[in-house]
Amino acid sequence: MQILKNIYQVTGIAYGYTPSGPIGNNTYVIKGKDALVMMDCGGSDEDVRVIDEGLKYWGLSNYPISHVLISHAHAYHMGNAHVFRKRGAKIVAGIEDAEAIELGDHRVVDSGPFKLRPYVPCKVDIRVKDGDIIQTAELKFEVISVPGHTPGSTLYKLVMHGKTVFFTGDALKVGDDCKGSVLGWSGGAGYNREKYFESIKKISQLHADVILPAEYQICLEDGWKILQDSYLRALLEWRQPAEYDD
Amino acid sequence: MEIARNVYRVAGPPYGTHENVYVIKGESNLVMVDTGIDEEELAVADENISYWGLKDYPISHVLVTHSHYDHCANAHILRKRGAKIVAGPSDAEGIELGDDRTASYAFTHKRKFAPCHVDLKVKDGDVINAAGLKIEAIHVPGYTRGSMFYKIVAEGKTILFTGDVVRVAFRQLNFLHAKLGWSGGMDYDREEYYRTLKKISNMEADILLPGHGALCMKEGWQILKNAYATARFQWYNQPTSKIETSSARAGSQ
Repeated sequence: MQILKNIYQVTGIAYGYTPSGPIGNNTYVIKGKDALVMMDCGGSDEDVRVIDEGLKYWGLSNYPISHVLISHAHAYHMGNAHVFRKRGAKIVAGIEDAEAIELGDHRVVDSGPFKLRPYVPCKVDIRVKDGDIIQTAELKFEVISVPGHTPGSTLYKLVMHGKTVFFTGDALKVGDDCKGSVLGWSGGAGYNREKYFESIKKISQLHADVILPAEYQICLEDGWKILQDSYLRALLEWRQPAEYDD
Repeated sequence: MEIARNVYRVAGPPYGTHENVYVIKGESNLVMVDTGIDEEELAVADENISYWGLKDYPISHVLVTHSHYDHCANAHILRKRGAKIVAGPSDAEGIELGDDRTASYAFTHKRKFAPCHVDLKVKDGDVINAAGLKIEAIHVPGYTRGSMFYKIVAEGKTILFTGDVVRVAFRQLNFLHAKLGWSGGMDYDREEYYRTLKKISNMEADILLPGHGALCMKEGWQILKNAYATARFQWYNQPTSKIETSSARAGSQ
């Protein structure tokens, strides 16, 4: 579906029901002047099929994919990086996650509940850090580092048609009702709650209109409310139990 | 958002509203499905209609999936703008009288329901010719007596507007599954609803666009099947909620 002008969602839970399980990961495609930028790329063959189907439906198949911006190094969201790199896309990821993507070790979590095919390591062409800018096809993405869910979790900011869009990966997700926030899974090898909390504190003070996470729902209006709610969510969920219980 | 070419969601949870409102772009007009709950929600819809460059297309028809307040409270405004209001049997009468069939008793925090003439009362199998589109009306009673699905086929995809009869839900990474409608309507009839779910469980559909919550973009028929399974599971051995199916209170307001 075309979420906003030139921003498409091509996979996600609404595209669910595949032989290999649900398509729970959101993949977005942004159309620039003469090329596409893909935001995460799924981890299964079925994801690639559904992505290609979506590109075709929206008449985007003939545009080259210049970059795949990876939100974090979990195979579920970026296991197909090698597929799109072969097609000519530059792979972009946070510095701290790049090594995991290139080595494909336990940090990419290609086992467990995700039922993915074995991970295929992929070279990362551009390693980004906080404040970097990715410019391509007259699109400008700002890199905001949000370590915690993984060491190199990255949020990409895009201003388009006057709207500030945050691609938040798993660092910050939007709940079923599109109102509340949902924090990322804590099972990854590089999960670090202290760093994650610092990231939440940072992003909860930023402004966004639109929040497009790597899973679940999306928020297309007053995205800053989701950002603020994440701080409350972290306080409520992460506070340690009281030491003395009556 | 443009869900499929020329089919838009213009209000709904991603825009901070509880109800989904859709528009379909036809040749030179728009068809709206459901109206939203209040003027504020209609303003959200209008804003999105402008965003997608559709402002200059008049809304020729408003298809109402059922007569509950949150889906048709703005019908009178849209009719004043020139749209024809379309609704199913009994529900149409409820909208015209503004009686308990609008479930306005559940929306006392909102202004009083404004009754609205229904221009086109449809029944099962009717084909609505609107904006150059052929839209099939499918009667799915039980949730309300006149609940309707509206079906269009666009570029080989079957799109069903399912109102509150079949909703789509998901939990975390689980599969999409069906969610059944609220049981607080005065003419809610579980036996009838069950028969409806049984009937539609073999229906073809690609995209499901419900009255609230999430959408299903692929293999919507799975959700229809799942709705039937959900009813069997949830309603098995439960007391019927068929308390009031007469129109005893209908027209009393």
